[in-house]
Amino acid sequence: MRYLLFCLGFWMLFSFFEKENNLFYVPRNWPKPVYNFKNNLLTEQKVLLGRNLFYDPLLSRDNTISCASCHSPFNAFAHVDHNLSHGIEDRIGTRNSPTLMNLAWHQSFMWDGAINHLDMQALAPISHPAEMDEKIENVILKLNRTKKYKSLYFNAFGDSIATGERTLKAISQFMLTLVSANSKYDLVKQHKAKFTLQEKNGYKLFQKHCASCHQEPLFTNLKFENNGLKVDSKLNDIGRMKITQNAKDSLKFKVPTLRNIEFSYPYMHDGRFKKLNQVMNHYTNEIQHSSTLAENLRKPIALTSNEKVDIIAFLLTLTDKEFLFNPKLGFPRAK
Amino acid sequence: MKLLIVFFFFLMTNAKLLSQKAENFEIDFEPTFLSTQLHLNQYYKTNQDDSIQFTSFKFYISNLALVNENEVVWKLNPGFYLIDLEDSNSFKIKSVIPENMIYNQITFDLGIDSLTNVSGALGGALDPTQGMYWTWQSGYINLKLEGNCNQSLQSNNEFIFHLGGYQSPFNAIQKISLQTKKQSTYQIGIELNNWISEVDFHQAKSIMSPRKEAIEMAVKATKMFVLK
Repeated sequence: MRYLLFCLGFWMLFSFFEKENNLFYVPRNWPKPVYNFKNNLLTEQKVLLGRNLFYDPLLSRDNTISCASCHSPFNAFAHVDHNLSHGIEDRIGTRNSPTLMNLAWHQSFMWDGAINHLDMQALAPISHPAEMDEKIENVILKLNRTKKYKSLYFNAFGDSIATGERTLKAISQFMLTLVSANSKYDLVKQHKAKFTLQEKNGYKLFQKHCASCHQEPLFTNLKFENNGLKVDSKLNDIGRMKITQNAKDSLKFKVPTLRNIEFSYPYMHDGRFKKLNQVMNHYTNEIQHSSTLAENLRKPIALTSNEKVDIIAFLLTLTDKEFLFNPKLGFPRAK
Repeated sequence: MKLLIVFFFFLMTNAKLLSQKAENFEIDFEPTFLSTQLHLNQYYKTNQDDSIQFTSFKFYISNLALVNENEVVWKLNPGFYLIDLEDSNSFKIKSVIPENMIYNQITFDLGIDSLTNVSGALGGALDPTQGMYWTWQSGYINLKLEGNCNQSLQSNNEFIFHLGGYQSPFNAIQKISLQTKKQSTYQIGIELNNWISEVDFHQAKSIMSPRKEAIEMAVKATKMFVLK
């Protein structure tokens, strides 16, 4: 009996801590995250360190570009107005910088899934010559020389030494806190709001034509698909096949989430579409057929222009203003 | 009370280990080129009378185990060692093993297993600042050899072999087994010529990503390990 009481007490204490530690949560009815939090327990201090790193141009070779340069909070952590990512010395990359949210549910990263773990993701833009063009070894040297980081690392890890492992894990911690699940759509699902007639009709059409790839509640099935875009002959991007070297993966790209799509323009892996109606027209009129085309795009999708407008109306319910304008996720200003 | 019971249980199950005496176990790697000590940035003559220089040479050893009649009898911890020619301290692996262990093989992997490759950021020998991690496509470089050879047709006669890849069909990790008699210190030669004498530098292209050529090269590299 006493043992039971002890366990109960322990559980209460633990759940108290969980509530206190309000850094990450699994929204109701969502699947289990794939990120292994046991190897990188979230703490307020580590998240704060990660947030400072995320917004710091020190990570780039000439101290001009930070992660936030191409992943700004107001664009759902994507890059507004740039179809291709724009890096150091005005160099232009080959792909559109993706949104960053609900990353704890992702198994792989980048449009082609080149990165196998959230912790390792930051290494790619840091070292890419058209992005930050820096070496992680040198980033660590710079961090260890910067006074501000001595206390941030000390508070996070118990001593002030920056290492590759600690730095990457801290950046992961901040990125893991980017959970977006408070859109009108979510409120409707929780019976706290109602769709308009137009949104409701758009949702029905969405479920029929789009949801097999853009699966709820993440609005992505996290798989790689060829969505029938015409190949850009200058970029000649083969997508996932570059990683697997398997012809079956030719022209496949990771299905992006549609959450906050209102603010994450331009669209597609190369940012070719600026407007959602261009995206709609692509799916109804411009699908390029090839052997790797997604199963559900093989039959033509017919939508009237009113139906397209309805779908867009639904997509706008995926906007989560609380997430987009959350000061806790923004640039860390000194208190 | 419960805790005490757990503690006793723990003691009982571990009694065997605790009662055993430990003995030292040491491996000394000895990098050589045609039997002379190997140094970076020094020119060597190959058996074909070519001139060759190595500017970087490092590789991972993992999963070190003692094996008796094909059965693992002891695993050495910690599991990952980065042998770097720039750092002679990295040539020694020291550990302790239980006394009176019977075994006739030392086995280890040349490289990093696939599970570790997908485990996120790791520290120590596996920290990405060691320069043994690919940034544009996740995965460890199991073995890195860079240098130049007058036979090479690449710019500055360079050659670069970054061998890695953990996903099928491009898994480049190699298992090494060395037959041995029991002793407390082992000298394992790393005779680089055993590997590079099988490389046609006139034809060889640089390898810097997981692919078939990386596996073929890694198989050749296994020949450099010789128990002395």
